[in-house]
Amino acid sequence: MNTIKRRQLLAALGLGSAGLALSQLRPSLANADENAELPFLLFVYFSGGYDQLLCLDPRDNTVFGADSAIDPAYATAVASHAELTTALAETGGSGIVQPGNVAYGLTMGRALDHHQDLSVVRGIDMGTLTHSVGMRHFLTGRFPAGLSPVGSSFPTVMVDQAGTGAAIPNLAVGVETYNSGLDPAASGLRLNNTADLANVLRALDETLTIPDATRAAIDSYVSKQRCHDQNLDADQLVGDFIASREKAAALASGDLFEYFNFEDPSNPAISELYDAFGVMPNNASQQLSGPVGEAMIAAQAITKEVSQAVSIQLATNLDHHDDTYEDHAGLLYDGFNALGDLISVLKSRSDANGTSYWDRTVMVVWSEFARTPKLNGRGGRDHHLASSCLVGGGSHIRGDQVVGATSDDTFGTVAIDPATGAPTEGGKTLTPADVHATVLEALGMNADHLSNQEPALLQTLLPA
Amino acid sequence: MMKRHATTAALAALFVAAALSGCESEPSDQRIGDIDSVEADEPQNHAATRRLTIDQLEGAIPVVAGANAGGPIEWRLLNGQGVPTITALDDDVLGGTMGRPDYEYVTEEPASPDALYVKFSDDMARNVCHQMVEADVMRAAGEERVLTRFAAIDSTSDSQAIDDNISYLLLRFLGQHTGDDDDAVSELRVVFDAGVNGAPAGSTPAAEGWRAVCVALFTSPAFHIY
Repeated sequence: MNTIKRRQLLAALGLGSAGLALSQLRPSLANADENAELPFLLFVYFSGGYDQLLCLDPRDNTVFGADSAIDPAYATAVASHAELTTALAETGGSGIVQPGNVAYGLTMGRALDHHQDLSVVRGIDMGTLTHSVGMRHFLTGRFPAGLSPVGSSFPTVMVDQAGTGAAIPNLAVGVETYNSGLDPAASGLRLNNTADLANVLRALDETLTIPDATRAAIDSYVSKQRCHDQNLDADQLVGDFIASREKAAALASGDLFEYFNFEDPSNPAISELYDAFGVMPNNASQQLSGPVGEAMIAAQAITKEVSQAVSIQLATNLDHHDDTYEDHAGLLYDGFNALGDLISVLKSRSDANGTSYWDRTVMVVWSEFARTPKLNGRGGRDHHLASSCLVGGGSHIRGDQVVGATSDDTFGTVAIDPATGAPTEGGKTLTPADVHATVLEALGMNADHLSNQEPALLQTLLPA
Repeated sequence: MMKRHATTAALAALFVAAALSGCESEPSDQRIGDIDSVEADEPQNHAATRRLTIDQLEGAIPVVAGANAGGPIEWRLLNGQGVPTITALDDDVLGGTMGRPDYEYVTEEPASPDALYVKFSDDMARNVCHQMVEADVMRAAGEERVLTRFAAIDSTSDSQAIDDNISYLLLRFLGQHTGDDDDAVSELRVVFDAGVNGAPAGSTPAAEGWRAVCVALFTSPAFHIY
């Protein structure tokens, strides 16, 4: 595996100093050739445990029904959602949408506009029916100790290897993030919403401004290394502090916040995003507080090169054990529609070298586990071990494929041959570590931290 | 062996020279730990330097800033009603965002003065210095002021008092003993004068000068690196 870090490469080329200088700039101002080598990670969480029958691992409802081990019950699932009810009718009642090689459920929405770039990994053994454990299992690729995560979250691992030069290298909106022993600069900046982003991307109290001439005098004073500072600078922390001031000033200037000030549709760039994500100005606040807002943050963070890894949550509260299950399909549909729009934006925007941001991005869409194959007595679905995830990325992951499977009798995991992705006797049961290792391999990075998990590379997902 | 001894001696001489000269010479490009100057297995003969942790920063602010009528001065943000009652460095406000570990999800605290830390340090400085100026303005005559203990907060006429106060602030904020003719004093005097000259209409120029000095000291690397 290619295990060279960006900064190691720079150092090997004798460009360590140049790399450091570049890292102090806003990345969008940095050299285009250097940026071109840096991939982006889009890590998308559907919170609460999704019903994969409705999205990534469907069954034909004209074949499977209440008398089967798997009951899609699609008519029930979409009964309260007019669009999906129509969509179900258009499938002849099967509930299967198959735009290419992969059969999907009804709720994939506009994500399937990009089906050729997407692949599905099915039959992942999550090893738990506890939300926080499953979530942390997929986040780290390692099974938690009790409720506590073991190791660093996947985006942190990726950023640690890709480089931490971006303004906010690891942005996590509504998703947990962990750093265990990696470069602290790779730690995720965990935000709950766009309001948190406003704290980071502009001065906190704009009434306490300092006149420019006074600010210049302060900057001059702070930036000069005196005897005391030189004696403190044996580890270059003083130098780093002074160097960070330029980047900090960029954060506080509000320039970056302009990219994320979604409440201001008078800004043509924001207005363009409204169009791309179907945001109605008279209903913007409600839309922006949901998956659309999160997807817009990701779109801007990647295409403005503010972040190397972005974690977002495109559906929340999917834990529908009872009649609230009637909301499940709609929430999935909204999330996957936002995802489809996000991919469209990434495809439509190019970097300084003319490469689309989608081509530079690798994406993982996941949930902590799945839901049971049959409705329970309360009209909902309970927790189910065998889950699935969606992976994609322009040039990193081969699309339009299925790896793994769930059985038709128990909806359980099926052992597969990692080389082909097909079920096989005596094969490997997939775990989140296999997905992590494969994605890292696709990015040219190592998965040494998972060595004790003995992950398998899912070869058919890797570029030829 | 000869090379190692020679290197050690050279480094020792460098330290002695620096100590004797008061760092009057230009800083050398040679750093302790450079592989060209010290063999890889040579122990470093200095204590590691560190950036303040978030806990240390939170603890240091009231020690330096003193108190106002509401109690110890802390970095406080406005609540929804515009009242500064939210403690900024609480975990659920900015403490977590700045990287304070909770030892459940985050086990490593960033130790480098990265842009995020420096950005929030500036927010902190402007906030706390504003409170310090306001507190000194509100103090009764004869009551010991914190930011302007040796100079008037509403006058710039006594130049010696201003220098004396700057020396006092260098000691209070950074633990640095200085004399009147110390460069650090004259350099901060430039900051003070800039604050005075740039004072917005309706403000008190001297107070603005001290606010600027306060921000300069709170955002100095010498405050955050030890």
